[in-house]
Amino acid sequence: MTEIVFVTKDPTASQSTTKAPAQTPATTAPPATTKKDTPAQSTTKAPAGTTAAATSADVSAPNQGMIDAANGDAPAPDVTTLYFNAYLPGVSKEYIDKTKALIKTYSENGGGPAGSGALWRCIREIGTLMGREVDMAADYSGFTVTQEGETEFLKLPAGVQEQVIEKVKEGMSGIAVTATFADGTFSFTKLGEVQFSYTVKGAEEPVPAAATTAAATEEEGGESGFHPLYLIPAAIVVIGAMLLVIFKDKIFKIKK
Amino acid sequence: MKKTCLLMLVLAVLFGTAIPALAAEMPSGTGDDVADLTASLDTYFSDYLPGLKTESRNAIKKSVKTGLQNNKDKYFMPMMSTLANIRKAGQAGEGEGVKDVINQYYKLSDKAKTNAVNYLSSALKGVFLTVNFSNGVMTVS
Repeated sequence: MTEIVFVTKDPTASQSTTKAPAQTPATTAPPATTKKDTPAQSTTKAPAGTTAAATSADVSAPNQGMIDAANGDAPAPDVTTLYFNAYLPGVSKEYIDKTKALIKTYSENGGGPAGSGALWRCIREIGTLMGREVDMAADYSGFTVTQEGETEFLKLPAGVQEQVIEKVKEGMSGIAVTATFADGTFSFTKLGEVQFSYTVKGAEEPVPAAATTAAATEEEGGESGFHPLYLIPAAIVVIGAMLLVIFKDKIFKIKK
Repeated sequence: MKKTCLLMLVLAVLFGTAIPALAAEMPSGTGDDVADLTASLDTYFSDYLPGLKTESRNAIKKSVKTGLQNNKDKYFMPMMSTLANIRKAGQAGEGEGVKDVINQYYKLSDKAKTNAVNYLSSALKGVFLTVNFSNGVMTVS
């Protein structure tokens, strides 16, 4: 029915073992920019016993520059911003920063570079799905756009939209965040709490859930109000008292 | 005597009609056992097993929900110890500073690893699931 995969090896430690032979990240060709070097994008299938999310993170194999960035080894390129700018130029700085904050939380909680690497790969693959082609500099110093592609999600064919949604989910699962999509808005949840939402261009902004809840609570009485349900027994008591007054003669047989 | 009986009857009717409305306000959940227990399961997963993937959570929840709906007498009581065991599994790494026993399983001492796996196995077996654990993978069916 399902499998629960316990992480038996330190993912950070296993990544570090590859660090020694690659001391010159700037000259290392970034595997994330070519299909042949990104096994997750090829036909690699999830081995039995691993979930899709775990597999995507495991096989994304970030290169040395990415590992350094995730580990905070300075000077490290800001791969997240660079990838968003290169592959998803429609995403504003505000949301890039929010995503970076989620990556930071993930790293602080012990998450290895494979997770953020998976997210970067998915950003690139979403760009590819939208028809965008980019030549990324090996040292992440810049990039060249060779094909613009589509920048608006809602202008994509329905099938491609579905693929993009799945890629967003896959990428965010790499950093332990759950992504959902409804009515033009992506919501990103961690441990049951919505971290932020992103409404694609052209879709209507949803009413913030917190505001709706607060309003509903106020309408229902809240802490300072009076709950309508209490009106029911109160009304019954009043009606009962009225009946007692009206029929007191019959009930108590008061003689005039 | 008759008037006393009538008075008692009126008061009984008043209380009888008022109680359900007041009971609806009790903070004990929705009143729907299946929904409440499934929601508890969700809370326990979030609080104690944050590393449990959504797919696994949903699969376990679905199984428990179906069980509760079809045979509440059989599932209801075991659910209490299942929730307790989920908590114990999650707390297995508490003394070692590990909050996520699934994704940081490698950080646990041998004893804590055994506890985490055993408690989670017991939790799932408690709700009539079959559990096998091998090489870090717990297969639940």
